[in-house]
Amino acid sequence: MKVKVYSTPSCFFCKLLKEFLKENKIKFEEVNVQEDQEAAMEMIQKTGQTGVPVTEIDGKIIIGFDEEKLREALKL
Amino acid sequence: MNTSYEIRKFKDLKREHKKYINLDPLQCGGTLSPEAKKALQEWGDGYSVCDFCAGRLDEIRSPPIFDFVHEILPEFLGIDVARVTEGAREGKFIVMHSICKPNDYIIIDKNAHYTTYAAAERVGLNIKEVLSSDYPEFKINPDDYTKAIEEVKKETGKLPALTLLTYPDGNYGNLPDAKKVAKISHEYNIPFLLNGAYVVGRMPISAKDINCDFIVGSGHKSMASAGPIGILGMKKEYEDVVLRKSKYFKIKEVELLGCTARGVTIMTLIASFPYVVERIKKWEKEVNNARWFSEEMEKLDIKQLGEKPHNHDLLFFEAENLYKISQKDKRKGYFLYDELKKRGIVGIKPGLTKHFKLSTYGIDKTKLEKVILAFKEIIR
Repeated sequence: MKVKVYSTPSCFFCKLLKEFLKENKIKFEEVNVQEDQEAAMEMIQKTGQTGVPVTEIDGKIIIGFDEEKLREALKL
Repeated sequence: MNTSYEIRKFKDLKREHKKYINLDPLQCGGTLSPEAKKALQEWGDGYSVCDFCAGRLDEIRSPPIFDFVHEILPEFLGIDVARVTEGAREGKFIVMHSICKPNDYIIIDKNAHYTTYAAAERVGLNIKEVLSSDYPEFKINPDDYTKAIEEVKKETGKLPALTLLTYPDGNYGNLPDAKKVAKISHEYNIPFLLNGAYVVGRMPISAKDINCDFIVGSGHKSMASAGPIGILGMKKEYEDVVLRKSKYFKIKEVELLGCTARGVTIMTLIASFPYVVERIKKWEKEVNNARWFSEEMEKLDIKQLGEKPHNHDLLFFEAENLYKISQKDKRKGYFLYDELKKRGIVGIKPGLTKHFKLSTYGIDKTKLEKVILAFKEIIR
């Protein structure tokens, strides 16, 4: 399962989301959209919005830290 | 007047509409969590937290006020320093009073809350407004901040001392491009204050991502707390000015008049915090509910004003059909309030029919369907 998290260092819910993934032993790639402009554009193109966190799980996009949707997508 | 009777009637104050569906934007986000209701009982006696105080409210370790104010709140807001105030309005005043001087200019969006104006007037500031677009959207264009700053510069030879944006405004629920206003303000080296009274506690927000210098929020409006209470966040560089200490009482912060929210307000704010964090995770659902509600109202020829598609739970409507009914009804403008109340719904101000605002925040779809059905019946 390929998991990618678009986040910023100062975002409270990004931190909670990453803690959630770690607690559930889910490996993920983290992208800081504050520093990586290319990744920021990629996230906007995929989601049509600028808010973080955004999680991409095997191509499925989840905007925000939506625990219910994450659990479903990660089969937890 | 029978004084004994008048006094006795204060003994049993019931809140008649407590179980009704409440659409009042001021109240939806302030509904106490079960944990806060417990805290209300536990800490309701006057300045209940002051037993544990060594001189500064935010330094109290037990109950964990210090942890909340100095650790969790700055992280939650995405800002360096935070304090609890007695409301967002107090936070705005504190910032204006500490970093501006009388006769300075402040740039304010035309959709700002009246307390923004009152705070600026109390400080003795000149107000330059950034106008909104016309009917029906009333949007704030961030580029108009540049125009306003340039106009003040041309007229006075000085830059404004502060810019402020209401995010979202309390009427239309429009969410302007705050990042851009921050960028424009900083190009002129002007500090930027974000009024997030309807954001902090409702939806995710990071002051650092927006790059505002100050942020205010409202506990009773949006953080499931008893009021009055608010929060104020600021960048570290402003801490020494805004939170300067008294010359006479070395640990007291002058702008906060020593201590702010003592007792039940801060304790309900803290007790609700875990619940607030959980509900923010469901923000997307809240936006979807608001959009669905707006579409259903429009099917009834009740027009939603403000941004579309809407990005916030606060909605403003224009209802010519309800206004026409009110003209023929003997209750006049009060008929709508009365008819909704009969159906167990409150929150739209009594007397309003043609224009009114409401919020769908925290109200589940079944209840929202009930509200739509009520409007259908009333129009019929």
